[in-house]
Amino acid sequence: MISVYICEDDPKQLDHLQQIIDAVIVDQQLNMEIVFASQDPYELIARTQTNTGEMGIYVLDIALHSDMNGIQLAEKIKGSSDKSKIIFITTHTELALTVFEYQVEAFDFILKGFPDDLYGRFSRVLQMAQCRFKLENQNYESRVRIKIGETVRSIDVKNILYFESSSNPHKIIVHLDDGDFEYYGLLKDISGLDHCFYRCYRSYVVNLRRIRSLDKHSRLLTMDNGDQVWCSLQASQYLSRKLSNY
Amino acid sequence: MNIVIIQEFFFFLLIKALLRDLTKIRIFDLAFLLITAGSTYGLSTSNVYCISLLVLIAFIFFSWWQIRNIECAMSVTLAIFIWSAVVDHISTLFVQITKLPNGYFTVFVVLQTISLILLSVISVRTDLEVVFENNNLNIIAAVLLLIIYLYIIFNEGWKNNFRMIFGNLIILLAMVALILVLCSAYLKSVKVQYEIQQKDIQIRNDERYMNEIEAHYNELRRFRHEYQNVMISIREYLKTDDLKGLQKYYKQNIEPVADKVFKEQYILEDLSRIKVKFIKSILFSKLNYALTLGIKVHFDLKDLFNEISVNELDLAMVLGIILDNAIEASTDHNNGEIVSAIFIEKNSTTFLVQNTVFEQLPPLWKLKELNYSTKGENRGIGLNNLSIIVNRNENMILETRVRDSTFLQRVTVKRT
Repeated sequence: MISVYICEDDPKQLDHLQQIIDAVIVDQQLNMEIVFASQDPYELIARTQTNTGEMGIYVLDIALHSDMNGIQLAEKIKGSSDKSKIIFITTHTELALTVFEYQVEAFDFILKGFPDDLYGRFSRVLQMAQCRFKLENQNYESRVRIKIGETVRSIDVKNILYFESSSNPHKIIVHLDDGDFEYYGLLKDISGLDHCFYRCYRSYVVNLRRIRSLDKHSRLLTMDNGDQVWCSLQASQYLSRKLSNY
Repeated sequence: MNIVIIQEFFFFLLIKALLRDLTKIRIFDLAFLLITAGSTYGLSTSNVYCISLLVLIAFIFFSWWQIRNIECAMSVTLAIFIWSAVVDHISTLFVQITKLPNGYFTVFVVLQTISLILLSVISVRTDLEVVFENNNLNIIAAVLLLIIYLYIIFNEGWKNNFRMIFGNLIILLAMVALILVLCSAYLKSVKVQYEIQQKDIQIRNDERYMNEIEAHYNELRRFRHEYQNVMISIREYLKTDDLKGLQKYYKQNIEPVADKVFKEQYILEDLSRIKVKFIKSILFSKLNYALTLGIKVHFDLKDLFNEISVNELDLAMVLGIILDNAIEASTDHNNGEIVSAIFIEKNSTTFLVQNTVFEQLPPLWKLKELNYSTKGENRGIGLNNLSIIVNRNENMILETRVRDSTFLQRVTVKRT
């Protein structure tokens, strides 16, 4: 069962949302239930703190009449529970900010401005969320969670090419298919995150599944995107044996 | 004569240290060293003045070979020679006082080694320039140093009595001190000049910012005026129960305005929440520039941004590079868009800039290579420099993503 939480400061809209979502759940026969609806973000946080492991869908208004807005609320939720999907509801003027989508890894945005569309939008979004939960449960192990500042990123292992220690001693650079980012950590802790990660050099941990080729002579690993990584003598011997298995 | 060759060896090392070249030994260096030492040895019987001058010219040539600027080469070489003369005087005095056999040799080598170590540590740890940027100053320095040096060798010769050496040593030390004081004063004035320049830029930005606010205020007044008029008209329509007319009026006069209000870009309100001057200044000038180029610009900041716990200049540079790249990528495209935001969180502040990408980008590691640019060679300051600045700040971390048709960079600054 997936729990649905709603936070909306306007009582009338809150009521309306509850009705729509209830109708969607019943009509589409979704495996969901509204467990909590509130006008106060703090109440919602208190409530989520107790159920950290559950699958949750959070429908949040961005502008709340509180010292906390929906974005900050979403970050708090993301930090405390790892299986959460955030759906923001927002008025037209706030929508310039698809940026937020990235900042908190929002699942979707729904516009308040078109009340007639709400039912259709919710039924699509909730169905999609249910599908996504199902997929994630099937291969949940192959994701790693990394904290960058206050936001927690959950990253698919197969998108990671390699980790590199930065020239600044406490930072690690993660190289992905679609970019790279830094976080504070130690390289020696990474090998334990997933069995695909292998420390091939003092300053590199590679994803074994993403190596394209190994040049034993110059001890250079070429990754799937063409980037190259050094490896030690010992590692190159280990890898030349191992790589035939992948 | 061995002493002279030892001295030459130290000249060689000190000059290399001063030019930050100590770790690299080339064949040229060795050949130079051998030839100089050999010819000094061969000429050992001739006139001492002659030898001193020849050695000086040889070493000036050596420095010139490295930096290819005769004034700088002269200053560098002469500075080292004069310093060596100081050390030589101290060593001679030491021998005359203690009367130790071989004392000169030991003291000279020890002192020169210490100065070599100090010099190389200083030149590795700091990025101080050894010569002036202004070439006129270099010429003056070279000439002055040359006069001092010529005075030393012609006035003294090689053998002297105690009082003479002592007196000269005092004069030399006084000169070295004087030169150091002058240099530091010069450095200070250059720094002040730079700061003034920065302030100037900021003031100019602030001025533009104020003008922009004024313009917006005037627009707001006009809008209020229009609003009152609209209200009066609506009241008239309602009074006369003319619903048809009201509908027509709404379609013609209110709807377009409402549309315009939505589409209008207001970045100023959120910019006003930045209380860190440097950051406000750079964001305003870059975003405003983007607006004038016809790029759609969003900026979002909902909380007050009061302080930042990182070198402000570095952060401003980082944001400058990121925004410049975003602007460059969006120019000349009809629907270019830049979305930027600052998020204030409990323990950190995040800066986010996102722009539309119109061309197929090569993989990121290629973009980060030195001097790489999608717009041809030697264009602007690339992602490589960005990494360098971020790396030297422990508190700053960078994220770069290319997703579908957007390029996104996020700088997170940890609060301490």
